[in-house]
Amino acid sequence: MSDQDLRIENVTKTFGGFTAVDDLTLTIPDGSFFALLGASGCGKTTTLRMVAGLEEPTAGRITLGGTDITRTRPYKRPVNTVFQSYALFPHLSVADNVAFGLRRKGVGRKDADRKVAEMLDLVQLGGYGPRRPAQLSGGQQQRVALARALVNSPEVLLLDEPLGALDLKLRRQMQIELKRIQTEVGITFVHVTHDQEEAMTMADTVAVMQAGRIEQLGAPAEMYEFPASAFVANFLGQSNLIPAEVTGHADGDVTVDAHGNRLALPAARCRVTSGSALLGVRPEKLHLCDGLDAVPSGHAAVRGVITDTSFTGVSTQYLVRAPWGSELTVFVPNSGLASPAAPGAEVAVHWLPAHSFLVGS
Amino acid sequence: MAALLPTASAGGAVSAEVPVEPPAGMRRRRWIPYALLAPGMLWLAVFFVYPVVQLFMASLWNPAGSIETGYVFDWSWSNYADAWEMFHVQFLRSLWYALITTVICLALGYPLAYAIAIKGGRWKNLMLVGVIAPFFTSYLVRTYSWKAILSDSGPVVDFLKWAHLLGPDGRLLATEFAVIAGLVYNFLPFMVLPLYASLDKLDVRLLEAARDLYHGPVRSFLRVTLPLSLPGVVAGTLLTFIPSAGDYVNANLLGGPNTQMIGSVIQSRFLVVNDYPIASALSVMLMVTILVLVTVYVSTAGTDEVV
Amino acid sequence: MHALWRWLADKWVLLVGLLILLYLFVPIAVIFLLSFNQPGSRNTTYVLDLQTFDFTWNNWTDMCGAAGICDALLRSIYIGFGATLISTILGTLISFALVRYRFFGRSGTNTLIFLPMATPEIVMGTSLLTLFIGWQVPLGFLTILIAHVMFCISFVVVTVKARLAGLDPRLQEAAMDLYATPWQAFRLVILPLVLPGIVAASLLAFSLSFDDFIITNFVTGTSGYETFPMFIWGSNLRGIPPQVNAIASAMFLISFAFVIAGQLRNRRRSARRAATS
Repeated sequence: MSDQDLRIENVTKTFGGFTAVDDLTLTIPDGSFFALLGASGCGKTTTLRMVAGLEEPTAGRITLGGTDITRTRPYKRPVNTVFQSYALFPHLSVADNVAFGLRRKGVGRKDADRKVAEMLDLVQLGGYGPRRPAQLSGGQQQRVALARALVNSPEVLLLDEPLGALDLKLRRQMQIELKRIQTEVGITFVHVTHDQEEAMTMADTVAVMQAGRIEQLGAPAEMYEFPASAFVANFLGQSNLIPAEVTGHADGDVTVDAHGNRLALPAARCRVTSGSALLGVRPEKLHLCDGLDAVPSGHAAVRGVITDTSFTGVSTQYLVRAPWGSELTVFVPNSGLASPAAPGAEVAVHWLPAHSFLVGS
Repeated sequence: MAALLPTASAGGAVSAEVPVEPPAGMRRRRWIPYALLAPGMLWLAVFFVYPVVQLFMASLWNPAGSIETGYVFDWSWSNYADAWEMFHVQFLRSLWYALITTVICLALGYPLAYAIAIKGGRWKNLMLVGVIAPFFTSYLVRTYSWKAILSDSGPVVDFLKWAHLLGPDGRLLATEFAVIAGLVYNFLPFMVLPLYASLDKLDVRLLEAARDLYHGPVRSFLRVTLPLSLPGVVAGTLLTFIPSAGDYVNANLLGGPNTQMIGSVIQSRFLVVNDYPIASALSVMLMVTILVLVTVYVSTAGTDEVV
Repeated sequence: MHALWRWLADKWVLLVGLLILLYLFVPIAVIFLLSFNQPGSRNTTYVLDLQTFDFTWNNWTDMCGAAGICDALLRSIYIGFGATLISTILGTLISFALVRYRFFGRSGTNTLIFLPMATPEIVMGTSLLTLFIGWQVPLGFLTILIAHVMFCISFVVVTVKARLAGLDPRLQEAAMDLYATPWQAFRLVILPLVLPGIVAASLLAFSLSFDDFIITNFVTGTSGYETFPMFIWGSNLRGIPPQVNAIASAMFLISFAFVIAGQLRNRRRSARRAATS
């Protein structure tokens, strides 16, 4: 933990009677690519705006490199923002847009011109300086917005749904580009998004927010493999969540009863160790076989009937109805090793207990 | 699932929404909007609201007074009865002329606004300049020009006489026709501009879809174009009706004794006869009538996009 | 024949529109025509009779020839500039408050802005006259200016408000995020973007003020501070000098040239933009 970290301490923001951010505490390490992930209304943009200085916290404090910036005016913070839908100044040329912050900081015209040209090269818009924003495509405008913020070498760069307005293909391309630029400049990026794939692709650390609080924070893979709650399990990718009752503990395992099926999993994979819970397994961690007899030893399994199959290219998705009536989703890679099963077939669904997890219901 | 979560309904907190208020750096000072408003609103308060209140007071002065001897305020409501008694003909005539003027302006203005907004293409701006072109000359000169056009030896009268639509002694000046023609001409741009503004916002694809749906231009016009341009119709009719009802230039220059409008009466009562109580009562009556009509009309038309 | 019919079906609205547009130009054409006429007697300035038409350049070459006419014109210009300057500033401030702030009394303010536009001019004229007489303010330049500012404010507010409401509030945030103080954000971003609205509003205010007769007629009194419309009205009895037509025509030509030049500039600019992209 270096002393350039961005810290948000016990920050609360209320609008009238509505609490947008609820006692949030967060440390964003210097130089990291940090994603705030959540559905609209979860408080992620409000958090970002408070860091930018565009909103003032109702309570709590924000420090950057040890300096309290809670009530510092936006124009006095070493923080810049890439706005949703860019907010480029329509009456200024691309170069003047990018130079705006430098000029306000008192950088001379010559130096500013040089830095602007460098930055436009970095975002692959060299030569576009004299144009107006309206003459650029959405992707190009996005790059200008990025250049306009980055050129000031802020300590923290805030990105508010920066790719939201782009089409899918361009979005993927920009995700890679953003990651490259972040590695190149080494500035802390705080990225707000509702797109879990975007967050996981780019960020070192993801914080999933809900109702003004952080549900879980961690590296994307870590969170994906072992979500802290049912919300995270569903928000980051897909999960099969089976209601279960904890029945006992033995040899570092926890045993649960799910609709009469006795299943076990390592205690280290359990967020709760007693009472009612949800047993979760990712669809790609589930396997199909002809019947309970064929289940490999050491695997947990339940019986089921295939109700639907759909071919998605890299894998086939099966919906399997469990004996208690709800359906499990199973992804089977199209590796050519197994022959496809048809709807109506009786199967057993099995998984390695270490791949499952137990979260509170 | 995430997408189905209820989005917070409590105002500007929702992440996708932009707060209407300025950023925190500015909002702290609550007195700013009042400081911005103060000079202009003060001007309106002192030179619009207060005078109107005072006009109302003047309408209740005792009519026995005069400019020389001064007036006594004694709640003389009888001024209104007297004013009505003396001038109800001109009063009702003004409303009637204003109504006819508005209807004709709508009939002329709608096709023009429609032609500019929907069919104008690259000539749109030039045609709009044409609509405001009359404003480039003086209002009085324009009205005098109508006087020349309709004059007894002018081309219109000549033609009508030649076609036997007008008798040998017939004339247009000093008739209702001349007054209304002048009013229509002078206030037509006020009808066209708001109509154009609302028609221009129409999505042409919507009109094409309507043609598919309702088979035929007439029904699609009645069911789609017209309802969608209603705010423009409301604004245009108000901007035409209000000034027509209070106008006295057209009636004075183009009309005769039988076409006198209430504006002329107020004008001469104030400036010539100096009968302030009656003139004030007439002004107040005109203002109240118009405000009532406007309020009823706007609430019936069901639109508040007038301004 | 069939093709002609189809063409008519497609274009008849446009043709009707053009005819109505033509009608708007008829009195203007007559003013032009009469500006080249030497009227036979004092009260025939506005008689259109080709038999007695007497061609002359005099009205154009000697525009100020009629006593007082150019003084009146100058007075209208003074009043117009004054009223435009004051009402544009006051109205712009009001529209900023209305669009960019939420405050107590906002809807009341909106109503107060709307009222002068819904009030017949004659009512405003009579009420102002009553006020000035009550306060014993001498009628003249000052009272005319006050009246003109009053009725222009609302129109300025409406015009600037429309432009301001279309402005993305994030632009100001972006400016402040890029180290611009609130004042710099206003000067460098908001003002340049709202400026076209403010210019439009001031042009509107000027033309309203320059052309106003009804209210001015009440607040001029016997001061002799005669604006151009008042001059025309006042000449009615002694005969309107034919120079009025030449001046009105010249006013028309100048305004028209300005507007067309502006249009062409816009068109060229957008063409250039289209070419570079």
